Amino acid sequence: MENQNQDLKFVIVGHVDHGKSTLIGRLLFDTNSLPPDKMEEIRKTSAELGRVVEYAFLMDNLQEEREQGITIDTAQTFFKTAQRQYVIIDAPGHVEFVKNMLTGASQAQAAILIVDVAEGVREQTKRHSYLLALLGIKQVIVAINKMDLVGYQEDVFNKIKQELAEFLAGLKVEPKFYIPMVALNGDNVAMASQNMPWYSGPTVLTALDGLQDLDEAQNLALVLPVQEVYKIGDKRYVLGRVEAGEVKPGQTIKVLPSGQTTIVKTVEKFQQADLASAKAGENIGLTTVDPLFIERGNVICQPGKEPMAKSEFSANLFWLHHEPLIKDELLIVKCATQESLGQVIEIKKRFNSSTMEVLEENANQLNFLEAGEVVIKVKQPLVLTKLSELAELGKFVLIKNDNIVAGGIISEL
Amino acid sequence: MNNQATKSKIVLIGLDGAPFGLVDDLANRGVMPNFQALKKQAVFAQMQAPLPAVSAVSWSSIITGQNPGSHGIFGFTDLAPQSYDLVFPNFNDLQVPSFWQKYPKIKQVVLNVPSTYPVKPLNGIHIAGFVSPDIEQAVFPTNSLAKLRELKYEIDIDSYLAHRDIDLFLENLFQVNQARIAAYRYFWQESDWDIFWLVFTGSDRLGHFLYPAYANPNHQYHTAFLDYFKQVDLVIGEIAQQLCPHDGLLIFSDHGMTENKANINVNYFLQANGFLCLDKSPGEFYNQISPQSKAFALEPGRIYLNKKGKYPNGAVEKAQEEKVLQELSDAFLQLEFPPSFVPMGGTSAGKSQKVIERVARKEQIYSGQQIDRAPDLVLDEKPGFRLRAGLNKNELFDKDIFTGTHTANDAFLLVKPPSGVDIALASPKAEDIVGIIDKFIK
Amino acid sequence: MDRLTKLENESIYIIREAWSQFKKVALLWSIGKDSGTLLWLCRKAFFGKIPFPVMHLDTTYKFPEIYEFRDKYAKEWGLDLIVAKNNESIGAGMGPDKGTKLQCCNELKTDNLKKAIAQYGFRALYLAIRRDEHGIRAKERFFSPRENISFLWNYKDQPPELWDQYKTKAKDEEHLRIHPMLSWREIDIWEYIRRENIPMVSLYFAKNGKRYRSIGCAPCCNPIDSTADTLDKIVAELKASPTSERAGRAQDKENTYTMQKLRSLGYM
Repeated sequence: MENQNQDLKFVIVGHVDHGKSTLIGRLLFDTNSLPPDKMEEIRKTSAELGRVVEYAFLMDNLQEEREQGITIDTAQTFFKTAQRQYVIIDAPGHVEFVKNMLTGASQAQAAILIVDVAEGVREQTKRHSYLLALLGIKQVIVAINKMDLVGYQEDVFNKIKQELAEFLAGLKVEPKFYIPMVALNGDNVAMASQNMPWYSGPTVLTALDGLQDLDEAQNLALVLPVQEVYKIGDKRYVLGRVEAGEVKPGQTIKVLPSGQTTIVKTVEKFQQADLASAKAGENIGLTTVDPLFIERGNVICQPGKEPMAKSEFSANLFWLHHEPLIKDELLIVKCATQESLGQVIEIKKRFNSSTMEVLEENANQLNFLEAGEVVIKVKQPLVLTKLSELAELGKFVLIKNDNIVAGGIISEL
Repeated sequence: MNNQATKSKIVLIGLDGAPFGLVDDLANRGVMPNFQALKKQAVFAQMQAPLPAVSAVSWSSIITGQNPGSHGIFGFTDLAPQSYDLVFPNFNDLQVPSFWQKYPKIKQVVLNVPSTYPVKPLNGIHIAGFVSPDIEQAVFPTNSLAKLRELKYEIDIDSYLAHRDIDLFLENLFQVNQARIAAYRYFWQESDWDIFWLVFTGSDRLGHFLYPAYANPNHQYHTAFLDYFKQVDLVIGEIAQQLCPHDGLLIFSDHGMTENKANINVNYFLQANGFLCLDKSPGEFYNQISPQSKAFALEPGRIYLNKKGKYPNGAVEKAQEEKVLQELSDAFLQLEFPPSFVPMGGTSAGKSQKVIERVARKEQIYSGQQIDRAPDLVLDEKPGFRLRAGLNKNELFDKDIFTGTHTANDAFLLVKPPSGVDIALASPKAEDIVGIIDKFIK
Repeated sequence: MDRLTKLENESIYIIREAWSQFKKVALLWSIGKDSGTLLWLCRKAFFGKIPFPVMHLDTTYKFPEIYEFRDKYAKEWGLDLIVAKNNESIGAGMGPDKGTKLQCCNELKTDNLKKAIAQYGFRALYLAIRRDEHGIRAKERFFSPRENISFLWNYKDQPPELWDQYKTKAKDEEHLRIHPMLSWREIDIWEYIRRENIPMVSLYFAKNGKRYRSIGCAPCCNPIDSTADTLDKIVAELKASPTSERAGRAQDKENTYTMQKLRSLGYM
């Protein structure tokens, strides 16, 4: 039963009407996760709009989305297998709701990319694939849906698989599985399909069970971005979440960007003043032997293995705001708990995020929902890594007028 | 609209649940200037709704010109024959033809008339109002569906929102109204019609959930309340402007509305007075009625004798019926609203008051072939009391989020007849509307 | 990391993040299970010494057990407790028997909160709402701006939240609602209460075959039938996935729809 306490959050993405909500409904149905009255509610709601596919309504909570037949925001739903519990984050497919899709998907540890076999790679298939790459989601399952519409033919499946593989390779996304399936009827969702004897790979559920709850950051060197310093009496706690590695009392640490070093006195949680250690993912307070000046935005690391503080870096940027990004305009760059004023000083390439077509080289602005290869300069050096080295210090957001206007990942330092 | 300028047209605009007094007041105060202008050139009167005063019953009377004893719809709910199973009567259960079925040669657009689901083929377009569980059966012809979807048309406001968050509810209400207006404009322009029915339901919903916002200028939602009626008035003005002198216009409501002082739990009253006994084991709703029961109520205040031979656990013999009816009548007429329960805006510690104006026997208020299926008694409550027939209540009076309640006697009717037609309205009833349209046609 | 530990870490991170950004912040404590758990998480985030006020919106109609519990633990845990009352409305006699329940809630809770925000100048509030409470909650963000006067929530155009980056500034006329427990479910709450042994008001535990599943003002709360008088039993009861009362008998879909519609309009 231990496993039942484990969970994995994943997101289902893909082009509108390729079957995201249906797959979710089917997963819930096949894992017996629907309470009877929920089932009743789905029937009722789908009846009002006269839709045949009832599963799709599970995730659609507001009337307006039901009516438009699209999911606007990110909801979450749960189901269980013998292996673990899953949290599905549904991500809206429609272009206007990319902000919401990102909000949901940025919490995910894995993704299912769903593609309608009869339609192949479409606009949102491409944009969502790009966003998976941007969000740094490494575990991807490709579900090729509606195989019944093409007579369950293996060669059609292979053709779409080929098309996708080529596209995804360009984004450096390497799916773990390509699964032919029919979400509506449940072929290869929980049960191996009788209609596709030529396929011997996993079903969607077994593929999910094969994924890992990624804790790889635990094996890296210590990174602890400082959230705040909190004093109780004369005790001074450095608050933060361990983002990589491990921290222990007696350990020598280095505080960036100042570069001062000290020794950890205690690693504490509430009513646990003498923890032996804390690992990646844990929120702690630590006290130090020397009374160093430490503040929010500092990064605590292991000396000799520390990331570098940089004032210029290359990144892939996704612009989320209706007003375009203008080269050189002043923005706030935020990475983990670090913040600095900064500017995009170069837009090397401007992409259409749907087609990944290069629209312009050496551009002066980036428009709503466009992606760019950019160079960013910051006033105060930030402690950064490439996304591939450590997620937490490899991704950042840009803030303008108090709102998040872009997400980015660091490609080169 | 095909501009066959010579042909007379008739437009019927319904404001569900809008009371005479409120509409008159808003017109006088300039909130509904177009309505005010019409008042001066038309006949405007208070109108009586059939009992019980709920949309399902009243709209069925409006579109058939018949009383419930004839059209057979006595409420939103009913019991299946020879059983206690709850059923929901719909347009298929209407026992007489609707106006558009009666005149198949007249091209009509019927937009959002309540209790006309599922739709049947007609010479024109029909989009049913609430309650419509399946939109495909709520629209004729079905090729109008694509347009409705494009307009983001919704049959009804999601009233559950009001139970959660009034702001969201209002947002939804205005959205639904905008889409409804868009739909009316579309069909007005694009289809060929002689008679156009258009019903607004937001007026009823606002009444249910926000009635106190109407009179109180300091109420958080006062402006929103008036804004809705302003929007409706704009449409009224838009329509009036497009009509010629030889066209006819009727604007009316199906029942009135007033502030709800308290809910009266009628089945609780029947239980407390020994008329009704429930046994929870056999099932839900009315299947709980045990053989000791003499009477039970359906929403809102329909009293049915538990007659032997009519119901599975029927107890009342034919010979006892009169006696039980009399006992029930007497008991209800004694029912008082206790002084400890101070009505909003009422004087505190006031005297208790009788809450039932009269207990009507079915023969007194209904006539026609369906009278056997009618409730034996119908309670006509004093304005401001809301009759409820929930089966699991623990007290006689209670309150909930419904701040408004229906009234029967102050619906309204405004008639602007085609030039040359004279109309006199002496205490009109909902079922008189069809007769007025009949006159216009001739 | 198990699910409860993950949830706890997510919540503590958000609690600290919000405090770091808004020192003018308060926790809304209804003394119920959700805000009680949030209070516990705040204690954990700050080593037992919460650096901001804990505010109870007192309608004066709460259960006596709630007041007892509040005063006992406010003292025991050294909370900076603010008891906010809408004295004006209370003085005018507002209560569940006067006006409607909605009016009563509006005045004694919503208006009360608005006044308190203005009085204390809070820029952010911690609330213990969960996504699984209602469909519309699925739209919530961890950091959600609300307009101060109308509490308007523009749920259709909300700022994005990427990774652990949130909207951490509010405009002058806005405050931020901080929702550290958005990802929790009712069952998670109870499993966590059990794991941490968090004190809870006795009303949640069955007495004479009844217990409260949620608590608030005494006149507006109804107990459910239950024999769950321990945390283990409550967890077991919830895991048994209760079907709601309306799911009793097989009804065709139109009937179910119609019934719900009529209920929402007060016709059933």
